[in-house]
Parts: sequence; structure tokens; C-alpha cells
Amino acid sequence: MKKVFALLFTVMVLTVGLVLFAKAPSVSAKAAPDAALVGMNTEDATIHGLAGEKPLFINFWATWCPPCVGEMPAIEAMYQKYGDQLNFAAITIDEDTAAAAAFLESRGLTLPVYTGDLNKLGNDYQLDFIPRSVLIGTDGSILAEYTGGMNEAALEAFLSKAF
Amino acid sequence: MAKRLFVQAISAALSNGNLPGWLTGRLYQGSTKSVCVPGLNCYSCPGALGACPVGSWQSAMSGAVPRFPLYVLGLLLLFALAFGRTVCGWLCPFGLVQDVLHRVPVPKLERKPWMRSLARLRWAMLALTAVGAYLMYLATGTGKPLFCAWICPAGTLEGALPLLALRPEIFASAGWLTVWKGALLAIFLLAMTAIYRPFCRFLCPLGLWYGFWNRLALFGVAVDEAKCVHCGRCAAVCPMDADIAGDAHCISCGRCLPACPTSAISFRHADRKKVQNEHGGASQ
Repeated sequence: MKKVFALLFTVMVLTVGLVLFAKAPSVSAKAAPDAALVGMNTEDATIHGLAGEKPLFINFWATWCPPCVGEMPAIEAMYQKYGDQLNFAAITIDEDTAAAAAFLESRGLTLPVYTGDLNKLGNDYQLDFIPRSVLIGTDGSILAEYTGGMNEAALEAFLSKAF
Repeated sequence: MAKRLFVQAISAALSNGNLPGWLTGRLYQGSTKSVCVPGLNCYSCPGALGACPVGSWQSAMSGAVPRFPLYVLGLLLLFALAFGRTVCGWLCPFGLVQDVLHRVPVPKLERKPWMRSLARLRWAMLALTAVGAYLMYLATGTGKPLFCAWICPAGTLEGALPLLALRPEIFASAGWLTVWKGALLAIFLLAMTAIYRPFCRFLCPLGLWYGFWNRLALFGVAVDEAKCVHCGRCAAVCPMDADIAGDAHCISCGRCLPACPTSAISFRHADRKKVQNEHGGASQ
């Protein structure tokens, strides 16, 4: 009985430990996959095209995803602050693009929002979980990636990797 | 028992048969993922080939544009009318986890009065699941799957833990909520060794739902009223604390079949409408 309790206690300690001693995500040096983007409140574009102009911040999101919706005001604030130095692309993976459009309008968001080939984007950018943020340099390499919602301070630190 | 264990194992394997996912931590996103499995099985489990009905219900009403999940409701009704809580006893992967852990040889806690009191928590969980996301939407503008996010230990075991192990980049987004859920899971894992199916009996909203339909379901344990002498032997051996075989607590495990002195209990569908509970009716 003691062994069982010890084993289960270990599982609990490991779970807590994994979280408390979690390290920052490692920076990936891989090239960002290209994809065509369909603008919902802006012109159509491609990921490589946008990244070629200025470092590109991509946020994959959906209207049905609470953390995505939660961090959108912070991303909008970053767009207002750094929009002249970085390109922004909030790519919705909503299949119901009308829902995404209604959301944009209701929240008064001005940052560029796109949709596209969701299967290709999902595979290329490993969109098992959203929100997922990716920062792409002008050379087309991925500078930073993050899965999960961020507040303004965390977003600012994330975007600083482009400068 | 061996037959049931075999069916449970097959069901768990079918529900979580995405083998590449178990190696890479990538979630399966094929067409079967849009179909709900009958039992509680986390969508975010790397092996999951289907969706969890509890998660799907809440997910539809989450986010900025809630939708009423008619499709999920239809499937839940279909499963309920076909199987009732036989789903819990024979098909649910998390039920299998609990059955296996209860075989650990530690002193068992059975038929305590507080267990029936704790079972009322399932009503709160059902309310949280059914309307929690939509109430959050009304209150904050963003619906949230509260049961999945704050409570479900199946999600922690089948989703969070394997993903934390296989996808290190997810560590960074884990926080105190993950710690809370890990601790809750540990408590339940411990409880499962001493108490038979504590999650099913005290928290599971899906089991409560299926229990509503137990007496109408096509399959499941039934009592032949003509033979039943209301001796209470089935209740005495029931690990789920049922009042009589086939009531809302019954998961059709079949343990009561050999205990019945008049062979009134069977797996066949019988006229269960006339069965009266000598303790005052089948309670939730």
C-alpha cells in the first residue's frame, strides 16, 4: 500500500514539478512555411511576402477559442504600437469565416486578419493547439514560437526578438 | 468480468488508437475527430480518434460566438437511448482506468453515507457543463469550457500529461491551472484505489446524464418484475451504490447477476417500468 501511495505521490510531484520548472520554449531555426493568405479586412497576401517586407508576427486563433479571444485586445494594442516596424497577421482557423468577421466587427479590431487553406496551415504550423504565435524574420526563418495566450507584457517580450 | 474488461480495452484502444500521436504528441485531426465517442475521452489526448461529448458540448458554446450544439445533443440522446450507463461500465476509457486502479490491493471504502452526499456534486458538474460556458459568455463576452478547464481529471491524464511529456514547448503555457488539475488528478488516482469509480460517482456529468435514461435504454441490466422479490441482494453487492439493478446508478457491470436468488436480473431488455425500488425509488 505504501508503494502505491508513494508512486501516486510521485506522479503528483512530477506534474507540479514539470510546471514549476518549465523552461521557455526553445527558439527554432527552421524556415517558415509559405502559404497564401486571404485577407478578411485587408488585401490577400502570402506569409513569405509579408515577412519579406518586415518581420512578421503571426497569431493563429479562432472565435471558439477562449484564450485566443482573450489575448486579441493585447495583440491589437501591439499592432497599434509596433505596426510600423512589424507586419501582423492574425490568421483565423474558423471554418465559419462569417463568425470571425462578426467577431472582428463587434470588437472593433483593426489588425490585419486573414484566413486560408486551413489543412495546409494546420499541418505546416502544427496547429494542434491555439492560440499559437510565430515570429518570422525577414530572411524567412522562424525567430520565436509560442503556444498559449499572452498578455501585453509577454507579447512585448515575444516581439522584441524581432529587433 | 473478463468479458467486460475485454470490451473496455477494445473501446479504449479504438478511442485512442492514433499510434503516431502517442510517439510525437501531435493530435489526430482527421474526419473521425468531428464525431463524439460515447464515453469521456479527451479530444486533446494524442491518441484520440474522436471527440469527447462533454468537451464538444462546452466547446460549441465557448469563445466569442457561441453556438447551440444540437449535433452533440443528438448524439448524446442516441447513446443514452441505446445504452444508458452501459456506456460507463463497458465503453468509457476513463471507467477502465478506474476499474484497473481499484484492483490495487489497498483497504476499500464502500457504502459510506457520505458517498451518496458526494454524488450530488454531479448535479453541480452537469450544470457547470451544460450552461457554464454560455453563462461565461453572457458575463464576460467569452464562453469558457469550465468543466474541461478546471475539473476534468480525464483530460489531465489523457491530454495534459502525455502532451507535457511529448511536446516540451507546451511547458511554457502551463501555469497554476495545470498545477491545480495535476493535484486534482493525483487525488482522484489515489481515491480510485480505495473507492470504486469515485469520478463516475461523484463528479461525472456524462454518467449522470446517461443515468437518466437507464430504464429506457435498449441495452443494459434489467430486472424482471415478475421474478424480483426485492431482497436487496443486488444493492448489497453493487459497487456503484445502486438501490436496485438497472437504476440510475447502475453501469451494467453485471456483478449482481449471480447474487440474485431468483435470477430476476439479466442483460436482456425487460419491462423495467414496473420495477419498484423498495428504498423509495431510484435516486440520482
